[in-house]
Amino acid sequence: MSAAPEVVVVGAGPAGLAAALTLSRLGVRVVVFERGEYPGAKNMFGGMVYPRRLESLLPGLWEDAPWERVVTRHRFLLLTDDASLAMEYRDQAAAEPPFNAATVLRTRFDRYLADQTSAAGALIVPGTVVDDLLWEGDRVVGVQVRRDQGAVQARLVIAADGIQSRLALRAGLRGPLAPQDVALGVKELWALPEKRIRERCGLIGREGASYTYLGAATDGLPGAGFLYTNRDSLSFGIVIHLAALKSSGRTPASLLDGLRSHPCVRDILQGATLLEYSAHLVPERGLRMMPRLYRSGILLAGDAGAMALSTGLVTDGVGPGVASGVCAAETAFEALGLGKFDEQALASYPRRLRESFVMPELETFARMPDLLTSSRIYSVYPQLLTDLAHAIFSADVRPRQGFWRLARNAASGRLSIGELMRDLWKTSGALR
Amino acid sequence: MMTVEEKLLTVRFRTDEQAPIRIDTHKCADCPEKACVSVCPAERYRCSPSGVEYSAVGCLECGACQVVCDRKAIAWNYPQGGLGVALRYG
Repeated sequence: MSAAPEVVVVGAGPAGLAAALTLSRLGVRVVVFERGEYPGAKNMFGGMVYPRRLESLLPGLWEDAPWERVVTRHRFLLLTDDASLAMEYRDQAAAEPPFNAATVLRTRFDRYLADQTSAAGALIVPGTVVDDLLWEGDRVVGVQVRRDQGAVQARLVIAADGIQSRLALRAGLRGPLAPQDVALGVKELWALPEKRIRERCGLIGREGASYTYLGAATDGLPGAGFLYTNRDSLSFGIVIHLAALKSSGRTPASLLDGLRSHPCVRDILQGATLLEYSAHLVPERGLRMMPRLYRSGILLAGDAGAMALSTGLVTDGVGPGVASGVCAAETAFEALGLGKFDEQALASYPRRLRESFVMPELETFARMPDLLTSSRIYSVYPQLLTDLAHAIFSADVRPRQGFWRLARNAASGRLSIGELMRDLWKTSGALR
Repeated sequence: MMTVEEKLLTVRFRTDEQAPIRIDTHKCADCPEKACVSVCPAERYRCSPSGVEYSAVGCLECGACQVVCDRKAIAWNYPQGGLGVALRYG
């Protein structure tokens, strides 16, 4: 690099690359350090992005991005050991650009983001670990890279180094992660011919489906199973709250084996070949775990700042990651113009986040994470509702009973009126 | 059912000679829970008479072990640049 960078970005994931791409377009000299062999080498997620959230940064994405399938079918299934109750939202109109959701594989998608970022002039340096920050008094003035003479000075550092962010810790912006803050995502990628995927999931052409499995999917533990259709592969896995996994003593492998052998999943994965196995932590508690997002000379973006959404029905980390990266870059650009990098100069970062969708939606769903870890959604309700469905759809020589009688029978011994009222009250409080 | 060992054969690793994890076995010898053993999706931990044993080869770098360890006995660090897990699909 001919001249020292003005801004150092740590982490070539969606947040870091969005920050670097934005800064490069504004003419700022920026370098991105990535510890993986290439951008995306350490990155995985369930499988779906919402492209309209990325369009302003990547106007050509409808044609260019490595979409696997455009998701037109969103299915939610409550599972018991041998039965299931499903709900589907299907929208054929969502098949055309600007489509709402699409599946991607992260190494391909992150490389696409990295290519755009390099083309805009940013220097991306993979295979490089950043171990620490450089300080001048209480101001961050660069990073310490793990190599000889690895001190790299910069006027600002954007830490987009993921959920395990070492730099957020080093900067004193947060403490160590607690098991209740995060979930563990474990994923298997299965190869299956396109024709089979279309047949088994009821898809036409490049249409895709997303499946969310609740209940027996996680053996009653807080979390969910997922399956996303890619072009010629299936992303299958579970996301389990780490505190609950820990106290259950269950292994991720046993939970995956259980869900994989459930008829709902087994029929789709039949005859598929495993392509890859991976695992990652996911921020789960939104605002309740959010660190301080900046101090003199440093800003946090993406998972490093816990900016990922989990509403119960939908999750999105890439959208908030990219949007926070753009907000961090705009804040950095303003600070460079002022020549000031103290806390006061960076205070416009949270304001930008509030003006974007990132903060408003985290605030709207602030109470969901606690509801989602503490309630009977994963054990009592799936069993109760599938039993009720069983009663409604079954017949023998006895006369059919009315709905409320069946509902009372299904609930009896499992759920008291008091518990039901408390859950409704808590749910209505969390759903703002 | 595939074993976790078999699943790990699908993952591309560039092994780091310096193990990214260090365990202070003094701290975990009498740990009743040993949550690291059960939560690790790569099943890299095993109970042993001295506490737990660990195999760095095949670590998926999720970091769950460190988060669940109440005794702060696990020091997990990033492998050397470019080494460790290198996902082909993600």
